[in-house]
Amino acid sequence: MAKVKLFGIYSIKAAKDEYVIEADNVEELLLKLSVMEPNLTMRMLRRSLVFVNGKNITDLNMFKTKVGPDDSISILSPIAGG
Amino acid sequence: MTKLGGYMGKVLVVDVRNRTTDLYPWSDTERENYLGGKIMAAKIIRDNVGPNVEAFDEDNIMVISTGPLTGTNAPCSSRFNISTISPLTGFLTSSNCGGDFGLHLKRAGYDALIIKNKSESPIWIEIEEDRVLFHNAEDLWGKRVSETQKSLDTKAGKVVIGPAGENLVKYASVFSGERAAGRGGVGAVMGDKNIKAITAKGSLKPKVSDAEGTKEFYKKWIKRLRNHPLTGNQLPAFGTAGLISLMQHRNILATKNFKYGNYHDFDKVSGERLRKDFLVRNKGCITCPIQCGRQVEVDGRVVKGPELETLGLLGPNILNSDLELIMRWNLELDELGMDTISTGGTIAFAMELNEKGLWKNGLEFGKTDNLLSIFRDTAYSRGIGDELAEGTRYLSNKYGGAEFAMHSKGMELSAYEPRSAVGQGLGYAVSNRGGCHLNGGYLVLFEGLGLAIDPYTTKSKAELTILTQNIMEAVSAAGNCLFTLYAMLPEYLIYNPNSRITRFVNKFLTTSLAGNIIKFIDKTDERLLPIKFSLIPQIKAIELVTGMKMSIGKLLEIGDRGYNLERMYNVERGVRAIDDSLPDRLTRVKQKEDEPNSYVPLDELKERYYEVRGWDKEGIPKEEKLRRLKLIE
Repeated sequence: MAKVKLFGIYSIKAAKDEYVIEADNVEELLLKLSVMEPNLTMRMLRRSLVFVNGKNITDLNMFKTKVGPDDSISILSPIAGG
Repeated sequence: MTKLGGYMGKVLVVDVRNRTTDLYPWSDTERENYLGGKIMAAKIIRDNVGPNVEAFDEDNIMVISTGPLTGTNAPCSSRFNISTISPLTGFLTSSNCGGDFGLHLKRAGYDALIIKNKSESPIWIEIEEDRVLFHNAEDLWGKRVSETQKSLDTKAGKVVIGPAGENLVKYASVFSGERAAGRGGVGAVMGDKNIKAITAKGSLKPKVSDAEGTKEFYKKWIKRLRNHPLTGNQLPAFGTAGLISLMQHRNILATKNFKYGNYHDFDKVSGERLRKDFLVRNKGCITCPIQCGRQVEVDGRVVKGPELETLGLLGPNILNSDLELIMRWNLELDELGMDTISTGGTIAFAMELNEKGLWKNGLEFGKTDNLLSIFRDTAYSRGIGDELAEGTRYLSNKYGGAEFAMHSKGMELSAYEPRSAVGQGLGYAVSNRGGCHLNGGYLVLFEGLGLAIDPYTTKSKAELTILTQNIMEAVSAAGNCLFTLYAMLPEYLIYNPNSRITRFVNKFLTTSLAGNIIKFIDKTDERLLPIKFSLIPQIKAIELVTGMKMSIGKLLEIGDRGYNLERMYNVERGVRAIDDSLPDRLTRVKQKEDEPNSYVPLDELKERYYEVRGWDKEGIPKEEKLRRLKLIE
């Protein structure tokens, strides 16, 4: 099962910041996460920056990116500052 | 005096040797051309300080200046700028600060202060409208920053130095409250002039050209800042510390003296951890709706928490994951009056020198138990601290290791590792004040933080850097915090990083077409760009406050003028293309084995940058450019 870690605003909206989720791809993983964490809606999660093993899904296959049992998924939001 | 709103119309000259004051002639034409802040300061310094004057020469001056928005209740506008010849770089430096001194200086009736000469003995200066008093500061000399502040008038705005400034540490800071004019060693210049503190207070206010219009516009502006995902959500929630996690994922988190771009224990020093385990409350500068400052508890005191740069450079960059220790160091460095960025950069370099056997100094990556005393030794120039106080360039010249000496023009780099954000690498190199992310254009905002343009391509990076440098230069000169500019990025792009539109924008921004459009804008006469461009609220704000016509074209021209003015002065002081440099580690060594372009192709980037800037191959602004910017007749 993939390890999921939440950062930024997602980490404070959810009850915890780490999850273990079994899914075939990012879309399914986000869907399961939204069910586990009602404060994180699917709409919200689709707007997040998703990294699979350190690679942004925009450089992979977007939400269809495959997820394996040993993969690490990070969910973040854009940010700026000094 | 002035016919323009927003300005007090007076620039005070304080001669600390002769203990006299005067007013500096500064006309409305100059206000329109140079606006205020760092650009105004550059003009005054270029006109008054010869190119051979060194930082600690009597003839060096300090210019403390505000902008027309300061004191008008504009959001994030209590700031002030200090410009002088830097003891760290040897060139012109500008250091910007929050706090409240800018506001109080305006209330005292002045847009700027010019400090000239050296006092023979320690003094502090009290400014209350027309009354300027010189006080003996023998009893304050040696005191730490907060202790000094407590000894002075609680109702006045104050700038003070700590022991590091007194002892001429090359990267000593000046403090207003808990905020620092941190970079470039402005605190050392103040210490060299034997000035421990300056206070300002009064009951005056700048008149505003369109008071009602300004009030209404500020309400909308503040609302926008509060509603924007960056300034209204992320920064209030996590402060600048919140960047650590995304920097880690984008491979731009300087680690082990910039050898790597990520750190396995990053989450131990992240903004999320700071918030979860240590945040007492948010705090911001007066007039700021963003409130990005963190308040944390250290040894029973509620104090300013570390900013991103401090976390990065005293965390991953020295292989330290003890956040509580960083909080304690941050407090200690602030109390000593020393820049945390240059401190972290210099320590990391010294650690690598030791690791490579070039300078046996007892400093080791990951070894933290001796650092608190090392910081104190640096502030008091004792033991190895005496050499650490000189900064990275000095150590590199003495012990070698230039290829991993992380500075540009003598100033230590900020916490962004640029090999996965090559536009930021260009910015570090060409920045007028040296290795600074902000003066360098902060392109990392586009290369992975707010947006996600290709971080490795060189396409349009020079053009984007020039555009952002010019905007930031003018906004800073207006007296506004640069953080307000993050709201310039349309909300849609931030809220929807995966959408087709955002991905298209990310791709488009690194096309030749985008680069050529930016180049066209840069070369176009300001009169042909008369639009207000609502994404930059400062344009309308400046017009409402001052009464002078303002447009995106004029704002960009003022920024361009400021950038070229500083450059010209530095050129007169000897800057050439060879000084726009980065260490070989960043330009010749790939950051990632699987990414062939993960290094900063600096020569290529610089060539394009010089061309678009209108500079020659040596990096000297061409006559045509200077004439267009009214910098020569």
